[in-house]
Amino acid sequence: MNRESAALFFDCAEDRWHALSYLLRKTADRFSMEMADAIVPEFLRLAAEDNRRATDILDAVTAPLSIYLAARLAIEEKRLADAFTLIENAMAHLPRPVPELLVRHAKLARETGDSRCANESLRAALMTRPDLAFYLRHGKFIDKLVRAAEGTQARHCKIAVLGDASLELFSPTLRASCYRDGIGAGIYCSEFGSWRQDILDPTSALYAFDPEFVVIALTHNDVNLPPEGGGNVATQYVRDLNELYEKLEKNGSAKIIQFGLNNPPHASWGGLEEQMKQGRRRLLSKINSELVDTLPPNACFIDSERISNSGGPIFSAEQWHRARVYPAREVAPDFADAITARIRAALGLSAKLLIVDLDNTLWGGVVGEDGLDGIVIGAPDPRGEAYLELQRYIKDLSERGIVLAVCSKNNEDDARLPFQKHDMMILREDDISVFRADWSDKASGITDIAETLKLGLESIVFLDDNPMERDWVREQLPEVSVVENDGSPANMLAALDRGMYFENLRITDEDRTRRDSYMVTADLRQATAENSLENFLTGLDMRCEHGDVDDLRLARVSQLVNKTNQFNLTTTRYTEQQIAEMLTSPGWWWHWFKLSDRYGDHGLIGVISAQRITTAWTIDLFLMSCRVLGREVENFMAATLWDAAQNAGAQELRATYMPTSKNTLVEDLLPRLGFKPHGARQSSGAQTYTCVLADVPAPRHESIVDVSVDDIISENLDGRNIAQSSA
Amino acid sequence: MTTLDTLTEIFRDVFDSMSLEISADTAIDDIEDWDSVAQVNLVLSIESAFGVRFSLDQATGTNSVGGFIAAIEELT
Repeated sequence: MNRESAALFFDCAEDRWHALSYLLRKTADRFSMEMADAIVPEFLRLAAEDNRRATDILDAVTAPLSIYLAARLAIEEKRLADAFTLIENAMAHLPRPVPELLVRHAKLARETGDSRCANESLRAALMTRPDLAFYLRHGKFIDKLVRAAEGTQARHCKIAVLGDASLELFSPTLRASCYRDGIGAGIYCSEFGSWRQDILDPTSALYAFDPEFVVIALTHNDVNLPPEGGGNVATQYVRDLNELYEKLEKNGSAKIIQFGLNNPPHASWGGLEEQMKQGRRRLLSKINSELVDTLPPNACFIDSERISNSGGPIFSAEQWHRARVYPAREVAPDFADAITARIRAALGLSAKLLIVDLDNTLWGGVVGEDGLDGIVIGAPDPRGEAYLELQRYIKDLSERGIVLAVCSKNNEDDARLPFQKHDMMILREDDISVFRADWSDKASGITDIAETLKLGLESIVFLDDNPMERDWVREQLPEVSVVENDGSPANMLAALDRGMYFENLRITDEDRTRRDSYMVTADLRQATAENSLENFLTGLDMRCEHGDVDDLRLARVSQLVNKTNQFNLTTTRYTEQQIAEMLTSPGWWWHWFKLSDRYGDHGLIGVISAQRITTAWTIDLFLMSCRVLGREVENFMAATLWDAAQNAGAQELRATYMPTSKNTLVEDLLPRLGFKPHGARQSSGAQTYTCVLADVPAPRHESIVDVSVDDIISENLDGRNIAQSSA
Repeated sequence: MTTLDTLTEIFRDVFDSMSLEISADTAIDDIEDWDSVAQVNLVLSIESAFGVRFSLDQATGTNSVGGFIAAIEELT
């Protein structure tokens, strides 16, 4: 919904208050900055009419949009500290970082004097790689903050940006890009039209500035070739540049970053310009390749046209005519990032280690559930092909010296299987220096991998399709670069590439063999970061719906019963028909569980079934989707069982753990819930447990909210369970 | 008038002032930092926010809030 349609929507409503309330309720499960900003003026108008009524409407709906509107109201009423907290709250309810919210957060932090927070939020906004509109709108604020932060940056560097365009218009974007990467950049631009003189004159302001890097960005206008026949001009042009390089080397010690000339936007001689030996386009390519060949040893070359891949043409005739603007503003952020990536490389700050998740990152599906045959990699599935391309890219990285590690929540055997046995996999066990597959949290995993390889956290890039894992790692390990993505393999690849984390200026033999010297096997350890984990779980805003299994849920329950391998106490399988029959019997309790959190609705994720035998209930099935591991959901499920059993007059619970090759995960589930072993372990490995309800309190699950409080479970006379709920 | 509201937002961001107040009469001479760089930023931010495209003349020649409002209305 944009501004115009929002205005129309409110205009045509008979009751604007009702319209507002309706809009909030209908959009509670999603958030878009565009829609939010479109509604703000109307909301503020209503709030001015009746403040109390407006805030009541907001309180009635807990959603990022209502919290955001409350924040905007607070800003309007100059309650900046409140607005700050509300924006933070709104962000906590969203699955992915939103740059517009982050920059607002930063501005409010600045108003309240918290410059550390302002910088953190601004950096976080810049790390989402926002587009040009963002840089323009907030350019002044960004520049102020960046300049103020110069003294506190970890590294500083002086960069001269030279060329035939009005590059001073570009420098704020470059400064912001460096700031994002922890570098305080001092930037020098030549006076209009005098960059060559600056290089030739040893007493110029350029040498007085003493830059560490000299960026040379030239447009096709600088060489000004005719459509055909400019061979000599082109040759001379390269020679002139070579001379300038010599002067730079003689009079200073800067590293040169040379951008290739762009393609001209028009071709009056059409295809002849690239076909003829001295056609314009062909000569421009020749100039660029000769520049690469004649670069001094301390220099590097960037193909300008490659920048175009991200945001659009690098040269805009309109912008050039307006004010000699180059690069085109749409790609200015990408252009800046390309420079920053080279600077990081030169300063030894490029990332060295890529840590990847496995399920739904390197392949589609979950190997522990779907098995080797069920995961999606390779042809003919288009999604499978996309995963393969991502693997290919990652393999290429390792071949130029980037170390690879795996950090996955899985049984190690399951996790290794595709690397060992799947014929479509491009990555193999040999490619992975540290293979970490266990059930501990990923921040611990990453920290351990870093320690094992003796690499700093700041040299690590983490790739995971799951927004919850990404947020956890961002929070716990802010030095790690977490690749933001939308979960699809094509997007993960694009984001990984776009981030330019691993830029190198050259490759050595040592680079090629680096991974061999890092071969280590990981050992399994459990994480103990209890406190921060609790806070994080609470922040997830988890809500669990549950109820007795009925016709509506039967199909999905049956699916889960037959599909779940890992978090499954007994792995007993039943057909849908068998389950339906059990539901008609008073001797059975079947219960389903559904989880939502701020990342979305995970659907049905858990099932418990139990037999009622006089005063004891025997658990037959206790299973949970591995999608929601590590969040105490099993505690919530167990607590529900406790309640139901006690309400029905049961005094004892019984259960048997039946081990399989896949469910070692739940080996200690029953003891953790408070059960005690009963009788000896059988030869099959099965072990029975009991639990006296009076002695053992229901398992705790502080971060999960029960949203089925209105459920009334009643048994009618023929013994069927009827759940009356809104679900 | 919602156009003025949205423009107020944009002006506040571009000039980095949370308390800036503007009216249809506000013009280039009224805001100290309204230079050619600010002009470009204003034009591009307004184009983006309203989904319009100014002509070269409008982009360089609109130097007042009232002028922007008129141009926006003409284009929507």
